Amino acid sequence: MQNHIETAIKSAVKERGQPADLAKKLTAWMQALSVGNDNIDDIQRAMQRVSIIFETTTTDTKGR
Amino acid sequence: MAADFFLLRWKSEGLRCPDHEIKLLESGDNPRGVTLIQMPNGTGKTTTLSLLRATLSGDAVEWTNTHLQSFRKRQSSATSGRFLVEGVFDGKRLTIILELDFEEGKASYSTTVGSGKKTGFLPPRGLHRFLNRDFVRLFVFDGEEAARLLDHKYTNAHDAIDNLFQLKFFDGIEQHIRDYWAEQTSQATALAGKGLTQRRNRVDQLQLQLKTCEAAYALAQAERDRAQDQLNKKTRKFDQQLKKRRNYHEALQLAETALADAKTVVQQQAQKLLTRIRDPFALSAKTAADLLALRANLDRVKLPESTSREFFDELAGEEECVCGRPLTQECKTHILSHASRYLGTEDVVFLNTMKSDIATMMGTDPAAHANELQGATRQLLEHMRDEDLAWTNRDSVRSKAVDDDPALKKIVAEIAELQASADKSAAEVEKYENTDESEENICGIAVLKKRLSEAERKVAEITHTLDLKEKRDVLVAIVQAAQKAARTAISEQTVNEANERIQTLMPMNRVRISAINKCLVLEDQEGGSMGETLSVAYAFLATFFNSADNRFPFVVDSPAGAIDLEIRARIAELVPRLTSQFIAFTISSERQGFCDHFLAKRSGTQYFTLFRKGDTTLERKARATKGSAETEDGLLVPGAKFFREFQLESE
Repeated sequence: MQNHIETAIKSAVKERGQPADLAKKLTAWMQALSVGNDNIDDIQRAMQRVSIIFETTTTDTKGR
Repeated sequence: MAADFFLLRWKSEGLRCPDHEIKLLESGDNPRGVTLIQMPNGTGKTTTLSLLRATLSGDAVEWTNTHLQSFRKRQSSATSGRFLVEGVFDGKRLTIILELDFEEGKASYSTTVGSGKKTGFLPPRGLHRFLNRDFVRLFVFDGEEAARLLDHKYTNAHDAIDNLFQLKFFDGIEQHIRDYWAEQTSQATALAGKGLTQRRNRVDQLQLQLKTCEAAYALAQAERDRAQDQLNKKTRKFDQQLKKRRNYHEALQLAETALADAKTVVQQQAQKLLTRIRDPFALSAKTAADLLALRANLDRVKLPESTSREFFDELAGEEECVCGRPLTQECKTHILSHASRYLGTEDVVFLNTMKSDIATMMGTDPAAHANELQGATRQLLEHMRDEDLAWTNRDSVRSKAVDDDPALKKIVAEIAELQASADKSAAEVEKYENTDESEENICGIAVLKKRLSEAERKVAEITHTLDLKEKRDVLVAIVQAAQKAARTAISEQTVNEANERIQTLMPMNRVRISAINKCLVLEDQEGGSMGETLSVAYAFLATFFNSADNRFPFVVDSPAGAIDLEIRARIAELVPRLTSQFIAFTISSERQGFCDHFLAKRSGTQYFTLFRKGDTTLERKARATKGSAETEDGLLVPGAKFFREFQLESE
């Protein structure tokens, strides 16, 4: 079942033209939550994760 | 993290069902594959199922008092009840106890994982997301509600899948993404694209304006410097030319010396006057007279010191205060001791200094200083007239010299022209050096730079906001799409696995699962009998809770109650083969077809019969059965023989 999640993330990331690194980071987060290394209610940890995935996400706002 | 959970036992005390303890172990910590618990109507089957659900889901804390009281044992003085469930999760023992306080109308929990007991409903992290009301309702199942699996109003299979396969984490991640954006942009003042366009236009306009002004400023400075330079040269040329005419030169030198002297005298007199007019008593004789009168009056009333003290001394001698209240001896003592506070040291110093200054600086004649100032003013006017004369004299000498010399005349004309040009360019330079921050100032370089900086900051702010918003939208879309795709893939796999098992185990069953779409959707739903349909529903649930990654018990109340006799055997054959722990609450009428199937096999199944006390014949028979357990209001009898032979008149 974990494969389904990983595949779904990769596919969604690719469809939106985002770097493969973003899929890796999201998958890593899901896996950390899954095995209990991360707790979804740990806001501080979650904000660190979110900050990293925001940095990895690309946009063209600044280029307009 | 896969979830492996099974039940070891439960125990009920002081509740509406008879006190009892059901042990589900086979040997060691291995649970029995199938446990059938026969409970005649009125024994509290529904109560036991509800308590199991409540203990495993933690939702009893939300019960109303009325609902909570419905679990109270009838005709009992017990003020509380207790339901304990013990199980094993991922190899660790877990005990959850639900306490119902009927006097307070409150439910509370305690949880023991391993050896540590804690207050509250605190299942271990990996199990926590499964132990909620909706999920528990699916694996602690009421057979009479089986049809609800096919009704989206009662079943949310998506939620169950999300919980079981950890897709709920996508919801949590999405929420964190939204929270992060909200936090990052909480200080932003404009969020729309229109705002960005406006702010960018403002920056563009200011950049252009600044560029134009800086270029014009540079030109004006160059022009001013050029004009000033030429003016200096011409002036020097004029002086050199003038020196050639000796008589004019000497006269002009004398005139300029006289002019310089006159200027100095005016300057000195103006400075003297400026110093004098700072004395208020010099500006007006009346002011001076009033100041002298003020000093005299202060002396007369003995201020700053004596009057205040006298006032309080006098007040302390009165029987009543000025506010009308009687003054006791205590009050009087207090007033006298604190009287001096009401005119502080600084006030006294100030008044004394003022009085001293009036005396030493003003003397006694109030008009003297004003007269002196007027005299000084007249003197200044005279000096200014002298200066004017000196100017006129100097200009006169120059004019005569210029008139007599055409070359000088030409130079003077050029000087005048250059002076006008220098003045004009100096004014132009001044325009660009204007630091006035009002909106009318559209040329000041420093002001324009400041405005541009602010406009750029605002664009940066909104650009950052929009950039973050776009990222947020992309990430939310990715998370939602990934969750949906993962759910679809997992649903399809679950459906396929369930159908394969149905095909293997029930080849004659015509009904198959088509999809999981909120609720369970069957192929050709109209074509199957109720029995077939429910067989598939059970097959699905059992498969669902016993996938390759997860294992849950399957507890069912009245599994065969709503099924025709001929289907019961199929269900009885199917369900235990689909799950590792099957626990069923039955009544004696379900024995036919369903329980008989297990009884005929005689292996692997554990039987209990639980009934309320009241039938003495049954009680005697139960007590005679090996392993029976008696409580205040019930008897629990193990074994297939008693189970098979049990029959109440009422049933």
